[in-house]
Amino acid sequence: MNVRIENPERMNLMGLLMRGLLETSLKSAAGHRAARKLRGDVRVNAGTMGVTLSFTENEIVLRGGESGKPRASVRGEMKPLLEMVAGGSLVGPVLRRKVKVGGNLLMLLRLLPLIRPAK
Amino acid sequence: MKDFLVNLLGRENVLHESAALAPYRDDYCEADASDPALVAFVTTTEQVQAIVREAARLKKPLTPRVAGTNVGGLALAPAGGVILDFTRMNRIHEVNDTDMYAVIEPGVTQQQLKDCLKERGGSLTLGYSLAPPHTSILANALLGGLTNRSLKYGDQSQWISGLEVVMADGTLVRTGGWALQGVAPYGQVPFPALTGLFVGWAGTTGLCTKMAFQLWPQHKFNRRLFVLTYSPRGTFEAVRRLVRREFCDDIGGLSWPSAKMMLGVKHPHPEPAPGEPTFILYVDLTADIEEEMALKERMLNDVLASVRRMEERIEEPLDIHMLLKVNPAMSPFAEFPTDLEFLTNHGGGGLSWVGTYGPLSKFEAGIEAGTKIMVRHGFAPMIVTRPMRGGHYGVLRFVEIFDKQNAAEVERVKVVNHELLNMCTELGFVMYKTPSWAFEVLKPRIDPGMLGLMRTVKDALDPHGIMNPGKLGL
Repeated sequence: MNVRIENPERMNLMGLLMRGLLETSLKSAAGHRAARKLRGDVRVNAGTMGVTLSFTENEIVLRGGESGKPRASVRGEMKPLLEMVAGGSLVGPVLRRKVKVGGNLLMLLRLLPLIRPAK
Repeated sequence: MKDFLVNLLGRENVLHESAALAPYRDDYCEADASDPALVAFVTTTEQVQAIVREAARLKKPLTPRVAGTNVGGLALAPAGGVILDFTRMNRIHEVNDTDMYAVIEPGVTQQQLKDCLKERGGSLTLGYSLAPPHTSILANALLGGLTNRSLKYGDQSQWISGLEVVMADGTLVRTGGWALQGVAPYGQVPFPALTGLFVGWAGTTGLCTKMAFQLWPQHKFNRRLFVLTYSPRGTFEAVRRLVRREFCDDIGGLSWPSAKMMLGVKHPHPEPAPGEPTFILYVDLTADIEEEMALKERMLNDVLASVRRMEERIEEPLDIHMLLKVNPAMSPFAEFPTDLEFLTNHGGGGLSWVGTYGPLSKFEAGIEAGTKIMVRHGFAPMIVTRPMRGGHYGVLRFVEIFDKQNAAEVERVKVVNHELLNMCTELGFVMYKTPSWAFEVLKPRIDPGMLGLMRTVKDALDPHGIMNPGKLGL
């Protein structure tokens, strides 16, 4: 399973940070399993930066900005999003509306092993 | 000269074959390569004195060099000249934990002194430049380079408390605290400040063989926080407000291309992606008790909130350790000294910059104009900034990486650097570690009295013109 950035020279910082995160996660069995089960697009908006993650059978493609029709979305400021990813509480920021989620929540749950690095 | 050096130093300490000399032909930058005739590895002051006497007799140019990481051609010898390689003259003579100073030789590196201070208990630290760990501390100090303690204490030359210098006739001079026998080099003494005869002169007045310089306290708690900002105005308004509160140990600003390169993009597009932050500020806070750190973090948030009230978008501070969990590629910024491989190991081998010191009031104008120049020439605007000496001035540096084998690209770097230098100078910034090409550009603007005095000093100290000739127009 590969992680590929479409047009990396123009990718925003959030997308570049996510690439490293996904590549690390894919090295774990749990992360790899999670990625193989996912299909379709997830949109992540961190502050003013947007990234669309497209899950296919063999790769995860990162695109800058908004493209396609996402099945799920996550939106928030950079700090609460990164805190979640770095192992902080998942529920708290969502309940406090610091992080907003939308679309297929089951898909977001399946995404978790990929965006929270293995301890 | 070769036989003399072999007799003095031994065959193994003298290079003369072209393959062995090749690494000394150039440095990172776009300066034309130049073939030295010989490279001599020195280890003692007495050897340096003997070599200088012989070079004076033969009128042979001598160029000092340590790591070879200069980006302005300052350690390149004229064709046929002799390079004195100081990498093996690397003793740490003294560390005084109470009076907070160290005495070192030219070859002592940032990493070496860091390790030494750690072994001694870690109560002291030095400032680290963004150059690689194997870079010479003495060279950076003599050239007025900056470090991550420059916000508080100014450029590294301001910390020099004594120099031992081999003059062009082979005699030895001791300045600063060493001027009086029996006085420890804790600081400058109230004598004429003759250390200045060798600082900022790029080795054209004498060869420094020992330096005493000040160290600083190492605190128990350290935090490095990254703040994403979205306009030059918001960035530098935050910087100017932060420096006046006097609680930050360091504030560095990196434009968006630098962060992208650290995250693996070799050649970012010259235009930012939509919604991209303009700058990433990194703010270092230190404290000895937890409450002190908490208060400093509160003060940081207070300043950032005040800038947000100007309708400027500024993110909340992000801790480096949190960022490392998300992406380990950020690790070069976790601890100094650091090897920023995206600058030095990108395949093309070329690294150049126009690095200037100037007033914080002009930073927005400099960044706006410099960005336009770099983008027009096809470079992503990689910019490094840092307030210095309590905010009285700061560094504004425009950086390019390039392929040294590509003549057209080298030419493009020369052109963009000329434009950047002219723009910076117009705004009141002064280039530091000034390369020869830049000095020639600046010459018509330099006070004639100053130029004349430089020539007088040079002629008096180096009558045969053997000390790193060609630098600073001398």
